[in-house]
Amino acid sequence: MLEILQFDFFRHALIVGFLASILCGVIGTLVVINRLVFLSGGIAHAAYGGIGLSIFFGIPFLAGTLGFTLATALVMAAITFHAKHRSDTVIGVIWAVGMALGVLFVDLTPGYHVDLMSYLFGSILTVTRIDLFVLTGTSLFVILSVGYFYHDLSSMAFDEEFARLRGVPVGGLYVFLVCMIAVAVVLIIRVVGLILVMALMTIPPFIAEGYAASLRSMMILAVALSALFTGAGLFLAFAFNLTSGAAIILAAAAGFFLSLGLKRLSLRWKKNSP
Amino acid sequence: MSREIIRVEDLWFSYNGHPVLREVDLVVREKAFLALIGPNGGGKTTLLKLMLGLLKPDRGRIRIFDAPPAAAAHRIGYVPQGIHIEKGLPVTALDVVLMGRRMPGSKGRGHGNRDKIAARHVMEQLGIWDLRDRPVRGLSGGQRQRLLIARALATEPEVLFLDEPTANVDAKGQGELYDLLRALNARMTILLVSHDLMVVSSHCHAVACVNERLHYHDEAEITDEMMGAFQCPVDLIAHGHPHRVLRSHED
Repeated sequence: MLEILQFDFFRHALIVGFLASILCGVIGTLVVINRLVFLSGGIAHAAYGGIGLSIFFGIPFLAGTLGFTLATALVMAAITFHAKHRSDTVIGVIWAVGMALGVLFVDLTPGYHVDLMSYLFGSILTVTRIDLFVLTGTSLFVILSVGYFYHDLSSMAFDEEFARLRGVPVGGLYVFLVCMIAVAVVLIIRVVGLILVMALMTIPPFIAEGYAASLRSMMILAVALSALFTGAGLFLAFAFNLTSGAAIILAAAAGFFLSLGLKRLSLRWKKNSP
Repeated sequence: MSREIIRVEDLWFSYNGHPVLREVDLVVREKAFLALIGPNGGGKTTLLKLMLGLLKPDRGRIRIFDAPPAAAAHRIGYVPQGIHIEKGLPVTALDVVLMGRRMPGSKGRGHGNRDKIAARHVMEQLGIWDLRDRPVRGLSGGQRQRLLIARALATEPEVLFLDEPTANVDAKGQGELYDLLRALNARMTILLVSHDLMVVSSHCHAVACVNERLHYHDEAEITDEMMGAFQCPVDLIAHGHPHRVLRSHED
């Protein structure tokens, strides 16, 4: 089993999976505690518009998609900032429009048939060296900036109005957070696909939330869980010749249901032994 | 006469086209203990948020320490209604109190020793130092309420705004809370939104009835007969069942 570690492509896939786990664990934690899961889903789907745009105009994938997705994310941030809990309709519309634009752009591109599957599930095994560099740089940036704003971010998530009274730049941090989500989504779609982004951004933080005593430990635990699921999924994919993205999601889902079961058991145990 | 802390002039506010507050005038002086009472949806919390600068008035002027709210609101310790707090967030009680130690303009992202000492001081004052390492989601309603008061006091405020601080607190806890507020009133101005007439009659210097308009009643009017003499259109919830206490304003 371990001999597959000798293959370059597999080692690369593991490293990429780990870097994606850092992004997903840290940003996903912020997404989950700020209740931005639907917004992130909207950004991830609208990103397809950027993919279509890049293909149609023949611009490099990363630049085109990143530009389009950041613009979409900023529009969403502007619309949702004042009504965070009542903005699901707007997000739903942008979500659909982004995808439709992507499909139309691809239709209009002569002689081009993009594989929608690789967008949904990615292709972690065909990652390039440049992807690795970009991912590493972004992960470092995310860790440093979240570390710098750590107290402000947790104060904002706990009670936004109080945070604002204490001088926390709530509006700026919200826009910053939405932009980080957009960047992470674009980078990770490239390597593991849209479905996996959403799975990795929500499942590990959700499990971690139940055990963590602080935001910091929630992030670290989420990164670790995410890396565990990614690694397990990759091994399964290789051993049984499966699609890697789908295998990783199933590993994460197994973890999700396992943690639900454990929670249930520990509750019952607590009840029976007061 | 003591210094003016808050001045509200001809304040109007509407929400989605529905008028919430109109023609509100209010002056609060240093060391006052003012209760805001009124029906649900009457605009009490809205008025607090306008004075804190969290909402912008449609019309009118608000001065806090003779400055606009945005410039002075950090001198107010705010204790919001506990229901809006994000309960799922993994933070300990001490973390929450330390959130009050962030001072506007301070670039200090961490918490120094001074902050921890200050946090300990207010937590001991409120009897929740033992809970410091407990996650907030495991705390009872009353404990959470004290925690929010501790967070507000950690900001070293000159004015304290409390929004329904007794909503989740039992009778004994309420008594302790009011004793604490009375002690704090020796050094800070207090504005309290409350349904509880007991506190209004026995602790407050003045009462403002808020129901779109604001009617101010100063200390001289608060007597044992005030329940009958007052003319505020408020339903007060006391001991679990609603009863109308005050008659209508004549306007």
